[in-house]
Amino acid sequence: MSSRAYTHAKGRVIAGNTLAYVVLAVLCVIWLVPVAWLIIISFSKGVAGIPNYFWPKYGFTLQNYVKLFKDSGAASGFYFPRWFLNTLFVAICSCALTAVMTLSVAYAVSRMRFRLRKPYLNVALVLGMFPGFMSMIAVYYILKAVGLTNTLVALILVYSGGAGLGFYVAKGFFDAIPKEMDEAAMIDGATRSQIFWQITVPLSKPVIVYTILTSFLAPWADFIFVNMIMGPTAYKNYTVALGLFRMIDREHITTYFSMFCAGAVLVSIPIVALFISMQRFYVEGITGGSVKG
Amino acid sequence: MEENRIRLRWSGLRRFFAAFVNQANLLGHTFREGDGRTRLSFVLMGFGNLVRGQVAKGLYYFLSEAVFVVYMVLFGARSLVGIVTLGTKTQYIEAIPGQVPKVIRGDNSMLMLLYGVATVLLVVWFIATYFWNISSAMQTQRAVENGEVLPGLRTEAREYLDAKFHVTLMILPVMGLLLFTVLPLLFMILIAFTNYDSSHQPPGSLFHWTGLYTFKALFSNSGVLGGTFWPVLGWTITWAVIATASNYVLGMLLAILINRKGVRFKGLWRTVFVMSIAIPQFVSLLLMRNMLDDFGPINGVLQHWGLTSKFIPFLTNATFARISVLVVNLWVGIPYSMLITSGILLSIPKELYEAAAIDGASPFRMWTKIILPYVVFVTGPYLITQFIGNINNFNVIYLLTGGGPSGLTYYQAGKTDLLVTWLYKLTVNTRDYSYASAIGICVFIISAILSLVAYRNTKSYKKEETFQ
Amino acid sequence: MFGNMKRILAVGLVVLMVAALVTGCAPKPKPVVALTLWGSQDDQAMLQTMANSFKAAHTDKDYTITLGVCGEDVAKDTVLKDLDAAADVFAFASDQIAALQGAGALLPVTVDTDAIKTANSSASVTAATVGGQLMAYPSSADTYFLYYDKKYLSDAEAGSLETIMGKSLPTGVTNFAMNLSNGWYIASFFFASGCKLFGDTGVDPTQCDFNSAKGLAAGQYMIQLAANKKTFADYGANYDSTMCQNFKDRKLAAAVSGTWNATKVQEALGTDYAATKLPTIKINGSDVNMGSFANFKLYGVNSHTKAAADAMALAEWVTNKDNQLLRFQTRSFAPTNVTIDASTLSSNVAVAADALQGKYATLQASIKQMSNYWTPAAALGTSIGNGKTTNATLQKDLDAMVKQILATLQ
Repeated sequence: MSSRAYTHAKGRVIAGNTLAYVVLAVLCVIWLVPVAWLIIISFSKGVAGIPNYFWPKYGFTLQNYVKLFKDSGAASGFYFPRWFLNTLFVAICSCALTAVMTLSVAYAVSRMRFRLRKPYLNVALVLGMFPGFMSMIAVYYILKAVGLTNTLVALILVYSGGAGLGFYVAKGFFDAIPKEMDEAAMIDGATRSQIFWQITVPLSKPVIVYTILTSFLAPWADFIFVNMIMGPTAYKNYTVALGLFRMIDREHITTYFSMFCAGAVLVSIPIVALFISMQRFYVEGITGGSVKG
Repeated sequence: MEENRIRLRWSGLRRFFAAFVNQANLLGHTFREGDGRTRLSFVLMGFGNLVRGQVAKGLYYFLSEAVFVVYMVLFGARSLVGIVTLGTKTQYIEAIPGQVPKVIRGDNSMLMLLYGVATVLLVVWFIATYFWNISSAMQTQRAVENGEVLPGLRTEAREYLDAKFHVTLMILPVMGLLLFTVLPLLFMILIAFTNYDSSHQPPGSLFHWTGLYTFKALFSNSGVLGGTFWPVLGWTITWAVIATASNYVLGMLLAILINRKGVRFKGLWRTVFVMSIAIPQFVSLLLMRNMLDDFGPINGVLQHWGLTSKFIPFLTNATFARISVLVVNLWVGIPYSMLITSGILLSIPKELYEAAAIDGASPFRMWTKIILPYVVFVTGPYLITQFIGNINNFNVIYLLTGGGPSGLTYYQAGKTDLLVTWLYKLTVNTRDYSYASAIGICVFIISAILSLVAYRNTKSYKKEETFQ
Repeated sequence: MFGNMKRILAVGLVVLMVAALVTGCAPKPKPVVALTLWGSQDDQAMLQTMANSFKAAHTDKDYTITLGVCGEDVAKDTVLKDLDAAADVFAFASDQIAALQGAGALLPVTVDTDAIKTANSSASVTAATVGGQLMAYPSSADTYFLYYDKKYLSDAEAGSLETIMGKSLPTGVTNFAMNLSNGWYIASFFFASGCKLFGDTGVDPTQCDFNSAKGLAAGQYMIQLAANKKTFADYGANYDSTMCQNFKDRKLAAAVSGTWNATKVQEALGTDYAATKLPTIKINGSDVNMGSFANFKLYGVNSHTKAAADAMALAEWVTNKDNQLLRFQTRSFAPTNVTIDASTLSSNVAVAADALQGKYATLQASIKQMSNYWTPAAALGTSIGNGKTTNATLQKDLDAMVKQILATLQ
């Protein structure tokens, strides 16, 4: 290769890379604008309703955050700190429960062969295709029959109740673990239970993290089921999602929009941090199923 | 990925009936061959196990029977009648001027239907337990006749950690499913065959079985509902196709861009996009809604810079709103597909690239001939799930436009409403449960058919073994 | 054996006597009654005051009153979800009364009926009546009227929409704002031109003449109004908050809204704050006043309440004259009670404007068909607002709207 041709090729690579950087930078800006606006408004002074500007007109303040904690109580009707803890509690319990159940089902249908296995796989697929909130009212009355409406336990049950359906990703992952390992352990006299806990689970870190992560996020985002389960007198048992949602209904948006933004920032920080630190596992988990399956 | 994701065949039903006949045969067989104690198990469940020393198992069967009988007598029998009649007595309020009104409570069709379905499920469970009891009684009899040692409680318990470990693993999730998914779903499906709509609200008035009436009203071209259903269905499909395809292709392009050889800070770029996954959708989408408002900051800035003289109706003009939801959906969806295709791109066998490079393929050719087919091949199932997910994409539509702008010829729906968001509005705003339920069934049927077709295709594709 | 029996009898007798003594001597314990009361978030403090005064006025029983947050606009959804879990007394908007009554959720008002009927305006009593029976307790009236900025408009100018629109104002200041994309507001023009929703009785589900020649005139008026992009604005989905923001920035001269925004608009405009009835518009050559929808906030008693008499007493209490006055003072709501001194009310600019507009208001029908109105009306308003409906397509669109309003599912 002559040196001129080489320089030419190198020039093309540099030009290509520059173009790539420019495109990436533009895209990043697009993706970050809503996030930036959220943060800016959360620090803005004198916001009444939806601002029609990006940059605050009346200067910056910390009041929106302070009020979120200080004005918490019966007078404002907003209990942000309490809602935050409620959501954390529900999220931790339901993600633990969901993870255990999802992995259990995934292992059973991946590794074991039993009579109802195929019918179960089919039924699970069919069930997953019905819009979930179609049956919300029935879920409410079932919870009422066991006296759980207006409680956080009900939320945990509802969020983890569908765990038996979400096994596909984990199953794909288990399918990819060589069966020979199980067989070798069985020859050594290990039971299925021992194999599951001592061989399969330790090997499945990505998919476990993936399951935990996705089920941990659900309670922070759902506002429909909480609204159904928590009645008007169970205000203190709301989750942040519903609480924040209430802040921007027609009655409140004029007063509370900047506080909503502050609350949303506070909710997003831990989730984003968690997500970014666990990103690798999330990718492995989500692709584990489709790549190796 | 999944050898039988879809196998909704009639043969399944046939097999089910065959199994039923088998069980009936087993019953007759056991009754002929069984001794007194085994035969007594037909009436007194668990008797055969109890007298032969399997106390725990025997007690379980016996208690199941006791609980079931008590339940049926106290409650169940009435529920089974209730599911047929759906109530006969309407609530009556006696209003005499000057006196506090007397409320004579009536039936509640909705609760009767729900309890009825629950009872039916319980009956099914009991019948299964009954058959297990009989076969267990026969087994123990055989074992004793053959002089075998009956497995004790401890042995049986150990079984549940080994050969029957799947039972231990699945009991809790399956119970959760039955309670929070299957039971409510059966209830809701049945509602489609009643007239539980805004004019039949218990306890003020009862609703009744009406057969296929709801579906006729929904599909009729002349009626109000039909006039809404067909256009909404059309938009749902259009939306799902465009949303899935655009997210997929653009997500892949982004992944390629980030994974490009010379590009540095790959982690940083990826993190920026991943952040939008982590922010709860109700926050990011509600923000977008307000940003795109006719008087929101985007229009404000555009006018301030003099780019437009008046606002752009991003969410208030039907066509603009449809484009807006599709574009915002890119913001939401691209990071996901970027992550997934990233993972896949990294797993592309090196030989593929090398082979192509030797052939002197251009980057474009390399992309269309090698990368794309490979990625489509491995992400086939993911694409199907995405497509079904988009048909059911409640959040993006509901939070961004609320289905709006309203449709002049629509019943309780707007121009960007999907079937699911319309369904939600019907349950929450007007309480037209029967129509909502029928729509839900339609959504299911569409999803099922599409995934069936798509699955068949990927499978035939798989058979070509292009990449093995 | 019989000895045993005797002893048991003796012990039993002693216990009974002691019990009788204790209950006889001790002051008779007051019956304990627990009630739940639901109202909107902003009403909570006020409702607490009312609950306290109720307890103080009814010392014969030991009341515990629990408050819950449930806005009037969503009361129907929350109450009908589960009657047995719903509040004993709840506030709701009068357009929900047909649905609530149809589902058997309301206890008829059978005690003090005549007194309530005479004390409250006849429109509010009609709104609370279904099939000749009073079903709820009227509390306040809601309609919409005109807020304006005295810096830009004189009182006389605010009387006519043509004058408001014609006034030349500094650049960037909008003359007039109205939520055209909302069915509640666009009815204003139809009523002005003489149209009737649901016939002369207002409750005939087979009648609607919004597509008549009069309706066409109303539609044409809206089309020409919406075309003035520089002088007219519809703030759309965030109408209330954007309107307040624009008043605050002094970029808006006049806007249509209701008492619920009174405090915010007053804060925004300060001494230039003013409100009056809606202006007149020129339709078919004559000046007619813009109409409006009247809606009432009502309090209902849950038919499944465990303490019907007490719940009815509480509902009557929170809607009595004193408490309507309290609601007027703390929340700027226009009372329905006609015995309240008119001079008291005129001190509140917004409430006075609301009362003035009351003459031109049409009651929202308490029939199920009413729920059919909102979607097509909003669609028509939106379509006119963004210029899609023109004079050429207006008749077709009006026909479509009326067809949709009168349509039945069965």
